[in-house]
Amino acid sequence: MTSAAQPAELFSASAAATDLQAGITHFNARVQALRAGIATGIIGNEELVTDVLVALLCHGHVLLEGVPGLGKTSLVRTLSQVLGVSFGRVQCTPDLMPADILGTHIVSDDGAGRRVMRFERGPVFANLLLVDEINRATPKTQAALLEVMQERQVTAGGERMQVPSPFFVLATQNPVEMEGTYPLPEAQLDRFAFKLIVQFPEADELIAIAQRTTGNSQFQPLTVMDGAELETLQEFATRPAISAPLARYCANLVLASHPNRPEAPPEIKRHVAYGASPRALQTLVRAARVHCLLAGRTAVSADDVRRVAKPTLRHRLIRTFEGEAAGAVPDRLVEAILATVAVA
Amino acid sequence: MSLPLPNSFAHLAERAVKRQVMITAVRFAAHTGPWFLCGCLVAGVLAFSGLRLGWWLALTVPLWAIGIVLVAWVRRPAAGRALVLWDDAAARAQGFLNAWDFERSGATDPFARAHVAAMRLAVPRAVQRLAQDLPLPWSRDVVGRVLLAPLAWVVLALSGVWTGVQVPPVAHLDSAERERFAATTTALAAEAQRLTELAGLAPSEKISAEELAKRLAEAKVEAETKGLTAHEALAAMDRLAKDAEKLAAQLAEAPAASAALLDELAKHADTAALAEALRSGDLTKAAAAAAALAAKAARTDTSLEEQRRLEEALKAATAVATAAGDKGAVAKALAEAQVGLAKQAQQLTADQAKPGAKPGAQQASKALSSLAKSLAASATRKQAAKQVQQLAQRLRAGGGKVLAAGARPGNHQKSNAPVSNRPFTPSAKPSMPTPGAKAKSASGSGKPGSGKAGGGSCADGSNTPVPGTQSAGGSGSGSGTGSGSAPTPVPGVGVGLAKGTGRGGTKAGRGHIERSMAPSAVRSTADGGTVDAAQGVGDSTTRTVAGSEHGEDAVVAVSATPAALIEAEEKALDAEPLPLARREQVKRYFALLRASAEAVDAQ
Repeated sequence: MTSAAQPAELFSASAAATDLQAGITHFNARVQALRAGIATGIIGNEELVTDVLVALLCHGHVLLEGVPGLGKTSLVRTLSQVLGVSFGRVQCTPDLMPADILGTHIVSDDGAGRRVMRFERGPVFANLLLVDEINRATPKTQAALLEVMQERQVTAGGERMQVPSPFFVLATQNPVEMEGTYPLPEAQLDRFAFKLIVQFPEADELIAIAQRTTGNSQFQPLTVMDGAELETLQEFATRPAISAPLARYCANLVLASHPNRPEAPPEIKRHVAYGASPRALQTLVRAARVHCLLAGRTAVSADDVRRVAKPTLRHRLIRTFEGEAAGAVPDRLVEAILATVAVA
Repeated sequence: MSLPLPNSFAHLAERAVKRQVMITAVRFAAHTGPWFLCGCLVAGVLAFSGLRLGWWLALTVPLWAIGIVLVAWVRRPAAGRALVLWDDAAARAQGFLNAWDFERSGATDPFARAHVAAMRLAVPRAVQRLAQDLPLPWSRDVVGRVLLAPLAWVVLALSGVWTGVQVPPVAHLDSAERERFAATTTALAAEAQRLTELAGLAPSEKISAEELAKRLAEAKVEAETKGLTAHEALAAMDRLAKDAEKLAAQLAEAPAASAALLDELAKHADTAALAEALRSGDLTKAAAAAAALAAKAARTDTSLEEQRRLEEALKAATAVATAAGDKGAVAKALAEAQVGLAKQAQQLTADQAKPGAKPGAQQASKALSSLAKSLAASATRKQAAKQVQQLAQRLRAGGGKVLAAGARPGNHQKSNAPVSNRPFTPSAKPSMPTPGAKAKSASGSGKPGSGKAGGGSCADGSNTPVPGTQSAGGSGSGSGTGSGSAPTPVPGVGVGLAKGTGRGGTKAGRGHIERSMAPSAVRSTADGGTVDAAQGVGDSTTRTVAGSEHGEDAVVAVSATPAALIEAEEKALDAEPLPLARREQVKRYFALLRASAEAVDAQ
């Protein structure tokens, strides 16, 4: 079911203050509808769902990390159903080739009896792409995702093809089974706006899972939005204002993640080899803007930035050998940065 | 620089900054308050221990307050930071900070404008709640720390710590004191004038004495006309006393002779009298002895042996004086006389045919006569020095007499004033007795000449006698031998002398200290000895071993052979150079062998 209301005028750039407030309210209502739709298929993990939606609304891709069986794949499938967009899935294995993801040219008949080369599109040509167990793919295959994730296009045989919009990649990886895996390179990690840790459900959530997902009735999430509306929401999410002190705050957070910077806290200097990129800063601001709207405000606050700092920065802090040996947890490092850097 | 508009967020930022300055000031005051309080307590302790700290301490609290404000202002946050702190305290999610930035940058974005508009609506209420949002960090602890210090300051101020030094009123001499001062100075001026007529004074010394008299007369006139204060009168008398003492010291200079020279002179019959007189300090006698020597050297009827004896004595004395480095007048005169006598001896050998020709003897006689004259003059000068010294003592005592005759009650109230600023008055308690001044509150009866320091206790708290000071207990006069217990015998003090030549009471005594004791011979610390080896001399150890008879029998007991062998071994052991412990061990071994041999024999 698609949403009946499409108040595009609320999101117009020339809207008055009252209209803006109405737009923000509408934005929150739609996001809430998405949450409710996802909640029909995913039990618990509200924070994780929110983060996924924030990444979705700020044009970001998400890397989900968690042990098997926590519902990572279910979350993505549910999300695709709720959004009502096309869904592609790639199950990564060591023998997976780039062409298996992107597509390949094949010889086909053009109907006139002539054989022509036709590009058979891969699963990336979908609005929502699930890359399951991405770290089981070889670096070569992982690298095939670089272009499509950043440029949202595929180049094959000298031909450049755009992926459908909106385009959203959700990749999963298992942190436990490391044998036969290929850890994602830094460039690949940086493509993901968020890295989200899927937590183990609480007892109440486990009970609900046991009750709701083991019967004969197959639940079917309702579609609450289509791609066009999602794009409208994405566009609206880029508009909240961010003041210079807040922008400086975000920049200082990124700078403090670099060990060679004087403002870096001691933990960063000791345990981090390389910090976050400017792309992280972009993600930080975009995601903060979304949170700003979710909070019903018109200007980004420091709390919005702090809320998205961990998912944005945790996979972008490249730890040193000493840091890995000492068991420096990326989240703790991000907390150290947040404790060091102040607004204004 | 344009001022911010009243309704602008810049104005709001200023208010936030000021609030932060106040908060910082309170925190800093609470931080430094205990230290300031400690300072106040120290000042209080010093004040109650008698130290007046002065009015400048009253500035400490204002200076402290100014310092706090300055530090708070220097540490004031920037406008943005102040707004952040306010926003955080009011849970506004950087609302004012963003609005302040959008307004400052003139943002035209609808969201920014909407934000500014929304925040502007919240400003009035926020301003009202500023004190609640950013409360001054007052707590009971902070209040105590901040307010205790000024409170202590006020208490100290009320206690009179900062009342400063009270300048005592200038005490001028009253009419009676002026009269006494005039009489004293007149008498002393006359005495000083008489000193100019003393024999033996050099012209410059006469001028000094005249100057002394003149200044005394001037002091009298000044006291009568100008109106001297007690302090000025005493100071004037003290200055004159010092000048008189200087003159006395100049007059007391006399030809000196080293102890070695005196010892050497005392060994010879001709010069023993001179040595004794010089040693006892009796210059008159010494002059007479020198004159006698001169006469002896000049006599023509002296035998050759007498002349040689005299020459030898002078020669030995000259040698000793040279060795001791004595270059005094006595040594020089004796050396010159010795040269003359030696010359005379040569002339006697060469010119025996010319009886009566004694130029060398005349030279010697002249040198010794000159010494005699010098000693006589010194004796005269010494007498003059004594009189000048007495004048100095009277000068010192004179000031005290002028003022101490009547108690000056006004001076006692100034005893709380600092010592350095306290006017010097005789009624004030000095830490040391003023030379020449009477000890005030001596009680008890001292026995002058009995050698004790007096039965009374000196209220001035000083046991150290000062020249010219009367003893605390010495009110009588007399002479005797004292085995004094005074810590330091000082000339002019009649008590506590090592030997009883001093006189107690009002008259100045005279001390005597054995200073002419010959020093012991210098002993080198690097003494060494030489030991020559002697060969074939002395005892040597010999050991004689007498042989013993050894009987040989045809039949020998079984036990006899080992016993005999053991015995032989034991004897041989005595000749072995073994350590004692080792020797005892071997003997025990032999004892065991003997026991086993006897056991075998018994079987």
